Amino acid sequence: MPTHAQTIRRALPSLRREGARPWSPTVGNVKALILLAPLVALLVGFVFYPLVKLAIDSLTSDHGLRNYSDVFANASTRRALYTTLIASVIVTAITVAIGAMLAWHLVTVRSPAVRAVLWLAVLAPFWMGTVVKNYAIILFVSHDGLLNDLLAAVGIGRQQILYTSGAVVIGIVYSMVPYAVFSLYGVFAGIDQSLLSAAQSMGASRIQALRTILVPLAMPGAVASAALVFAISVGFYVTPVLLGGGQTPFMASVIQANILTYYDYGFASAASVVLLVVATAILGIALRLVGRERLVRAVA
Amino acid sequence: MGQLCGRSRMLRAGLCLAAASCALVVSACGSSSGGGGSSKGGSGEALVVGDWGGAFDQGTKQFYADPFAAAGGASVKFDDASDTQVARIEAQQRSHSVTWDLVDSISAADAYLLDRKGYLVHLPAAMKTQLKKTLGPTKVTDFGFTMSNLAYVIVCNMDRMKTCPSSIPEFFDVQRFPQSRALPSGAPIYTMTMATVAGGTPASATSTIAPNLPPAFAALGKLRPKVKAFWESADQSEQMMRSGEVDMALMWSGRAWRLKDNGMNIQINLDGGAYEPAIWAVIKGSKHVDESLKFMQWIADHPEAQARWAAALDYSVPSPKAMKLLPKAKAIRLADYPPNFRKLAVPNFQWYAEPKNAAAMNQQWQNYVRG
Amino acid sequence: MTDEIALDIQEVSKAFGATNALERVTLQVHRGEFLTLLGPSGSGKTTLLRMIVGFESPTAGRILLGGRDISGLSPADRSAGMVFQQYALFPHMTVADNIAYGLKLRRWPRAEQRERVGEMLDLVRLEGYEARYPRQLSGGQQQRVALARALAYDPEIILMDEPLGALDRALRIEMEQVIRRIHRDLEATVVYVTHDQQEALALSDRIAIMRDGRLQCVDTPEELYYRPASSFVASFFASSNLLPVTLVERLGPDSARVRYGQDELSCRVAGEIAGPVQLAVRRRSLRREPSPNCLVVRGTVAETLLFGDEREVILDVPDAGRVVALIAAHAAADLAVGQPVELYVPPEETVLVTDVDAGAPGTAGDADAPLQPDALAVGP
Ligand SMILES: Nc1ncnc2c1ncn2[C@@H]1O[C@H](COP(=O)(O)OP(=O)(O)O)[C@@H](O)[C@H]1O
Ligand SMILES: [Mg+2]
Repeated sequence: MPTHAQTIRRALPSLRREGARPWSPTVGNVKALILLAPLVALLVGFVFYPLVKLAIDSLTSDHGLRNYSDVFANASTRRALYTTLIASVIVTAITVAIGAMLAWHLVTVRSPAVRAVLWLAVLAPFWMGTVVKNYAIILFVSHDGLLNDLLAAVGIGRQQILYTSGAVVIGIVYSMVPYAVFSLYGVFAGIDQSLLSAAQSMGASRIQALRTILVPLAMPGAVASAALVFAISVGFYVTPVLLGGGQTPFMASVIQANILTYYDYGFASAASVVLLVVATAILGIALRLVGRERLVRAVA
Repeated sequence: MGQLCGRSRMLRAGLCLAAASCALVVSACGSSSGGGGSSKGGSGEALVVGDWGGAFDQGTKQFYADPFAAAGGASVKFDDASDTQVARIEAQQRSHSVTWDLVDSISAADAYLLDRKGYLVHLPAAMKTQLKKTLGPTKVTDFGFTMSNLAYVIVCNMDRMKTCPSSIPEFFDVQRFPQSRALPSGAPIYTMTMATVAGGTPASATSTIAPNLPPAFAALGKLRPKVKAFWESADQSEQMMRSGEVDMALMWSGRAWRLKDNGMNIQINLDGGAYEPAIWAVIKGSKHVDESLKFMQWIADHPEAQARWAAALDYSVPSPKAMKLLPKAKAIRLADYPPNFRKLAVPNFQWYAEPKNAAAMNQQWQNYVRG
Repeated sequence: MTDEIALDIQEVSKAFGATNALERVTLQVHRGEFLTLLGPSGSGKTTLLRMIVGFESPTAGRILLGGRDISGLSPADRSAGMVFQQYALFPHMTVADNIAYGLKLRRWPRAEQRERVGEMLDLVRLEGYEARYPRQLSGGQQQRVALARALAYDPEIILMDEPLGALDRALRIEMEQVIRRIHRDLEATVVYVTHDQQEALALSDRIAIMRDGRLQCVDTPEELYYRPASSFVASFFASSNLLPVTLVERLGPDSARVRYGQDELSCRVAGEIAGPVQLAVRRRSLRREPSPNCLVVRGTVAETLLFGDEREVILDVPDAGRVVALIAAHAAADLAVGQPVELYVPPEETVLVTDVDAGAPGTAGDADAPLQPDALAVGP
């Protein structure tokens, strides 16, 4: 009886004779470029072109360079810019914290039933339309809503939450939590659980183990997750309008108003560019502070 | 359904924003392709109306366009451009490829703005005179007449208060009425017109004299602590009242009636409101100006058609005769119902169409809202 | 090794839902002793270890470490050091920081930490590697760091769960030496888990054999190898052949007369005898030359495999099935597949065993029955 290896060896030359090239998992540069071309075209057409056009419009339409001085001279636009950025930072911090807790439980929970319920809770905001989602939050934080019932029950008393920046933050956090959970789930799933056991076996409390092992290992992923959440939050439009009652203006509302109500395209495009540049700069600085070297090291 | 949906400015605002940016891109492409479309002209062709889509288009087709065609007029097509009319007209004009002949019920403020840019056809003098006679002098402008008009009205939740402010000065009186309020956040000209009345200008004079802003903003400033929220969409204004988040609101009349019809205990005061007309106009560059004017003339001359249209869509129409043809219960809800119309403050759109005036008002208003 | 008991496991059971991972395990480990838990996969070794370190708590029973009941304590409050199969080194820390981790938690002064890290690196022969990251080390080096890390803070007991399982053969043998040396030098108390008899033989003072969540027996490697107390120990630990025999008579506490086919012979007895009996014959006890009163095994050669100095000969034996023999290569050179052959076993190398299965611990044995040196074989 021929051994397995012999069988294979005998089969090999016949393969060669038929001219089959040995299969390789790598693709040549040219082939790779051809395969990527549609994607590159999409990227150019739908990302780069509009951005460049936006930048050019902001410099050429209506008042030219004055569009920018108008944006900065306008107190309410400046306020909208601060509001957008500060609210987004707060949203990011809360979202990543909640997302991390949820993702960690999703990774560690043993019961499949509990896991399914958790996933359902995480995915729910994804399945809801924007308006439904915001309406749910309105019901939750309104004067007669669940949250106020709760506050009243514990003796704090009903608070004005709806139409404050608090409501806007709650609303955006609710929309953003799935993004944080998705990105952090991958991060946590990639961390060997026995590292925590090892830490505990050496005398670390649960909290110490999380702080000294999990947190540093998850940090790069958490920063990436925060960057994602921040970048999306900055562009929120409907939630600030519906939950902020006009008093927590986001840049998107200002831009929208300048396009649709005041017909000032130059101002709108300049405001868009300012928002884009400032948000990108903040992201850049934040990533810088965390340290590229640390990111790379932990990822490798 | 269809009630007020088409015209609510901020409704589905996210979509509108997207649509508007599309319009910008279209304009960019259009200029390079150099006006192709409508260079043929001729009388047998259909008129194209930039319109609001949905039930609104259907009403306009059923009660105006179809009878007009049946009477020997041109056929009419509708281009759904809900809330992006100005951007679309702007794009067509810039690219010199005008595809619309008419625009239906564009907000008066927008219409004046477009007219300043020279995008609207002026009515022949004879036609203008004749229309003023048929519809009333306040319903006709140099470039068109009003249609699907609304009023911003004072609405009170009567579960929360014994009496509702019955005039603009009362609405601004926070001593007598300390309850919370909601104001519209956009389209400041209407709220500002009411604020000028609170600041001392008689309601009957607002349409003709330049608004006196300092006392108006002073009145608004006193009101500010009681303004709990600014609504962006008509849906939101309803929701704020319904949920009891605010006790009073300045909101569109149609939405207010809907709240009442749904059983909410509210009072609607048309005595203390602002008139918000919309305008039919012919677009400069149209290849069918004469036929388009004929269509407008036909609408103005047919009060029964206007009455049917108003009954179907719950928007007000300019013709006083149409008001008489409507059942009273319906008519008294509409802004053009003469007893209502007399009490409404009409904004000075001509003043607002001057960009530096608009900029000054808008700027201060935005600071007021976001401040 | 001293007489002092370091770890005292008393009647410990553990159930995961419907599975009984451990059933009434009782075991004592002496201070300085190297005890190995040996058993097939799924027999509960890891579970027992995790309960000692505190990752699981027993469903019933108690665990005492240094006389203190630690059953309810968190891992941090016990004094154990654990070495994991997959090393579990902290990837974001250098070798030195990994080793100092337990010291930092115990708030050792910085200088002493550094000194201790140096000592540990000397101990595992990794001088000069302190600034490396785990991913810059080979598997064997990583496991040595893991060992140093678990030893650094002087825990009362060291637990190792198949620490060599991920290493290749040569490294395993090298690491066995490292572990043996460290155990000797530090006089550490070690509980070591493996499913590899060779490893257990090479390292252990005593070996606890586990099967299906029960402790089968605990004894020195010699006793287990030469005098297995049950058929499971004989076949699992020494890979012995089990021949069907009938008991003729008991000759005393540690010997009996049995019949195999037509032959009668005297054999040893090491454990309880109850129910059907078998004769355990180690593979190297089957010889080609007869000896006085020897047992004769007749069969035909089914397969032969050369293992260097020795040749494994597999026989088809009527009644007994397959019998495996390890014979000096030169003495087996003439054996061909299909050939009938007779092999001979000296009677003093055979042990009479029964399948004292976990199924019935505490089966009443004869009053004069088994000798159990450390009194720790089967349950109560
Ligand atoms: N966390 C757990 N949940 C459920 N069953 C488990 C768990 N841990 C171990 N078991 C079961 O307990 C038994 C013993 O497992 P284990 O201690 O890992 O065995 P070993 O280490 O000897 O291979 C196995 O049947 C295993 O499936
Ligand atoms: Mg195991």
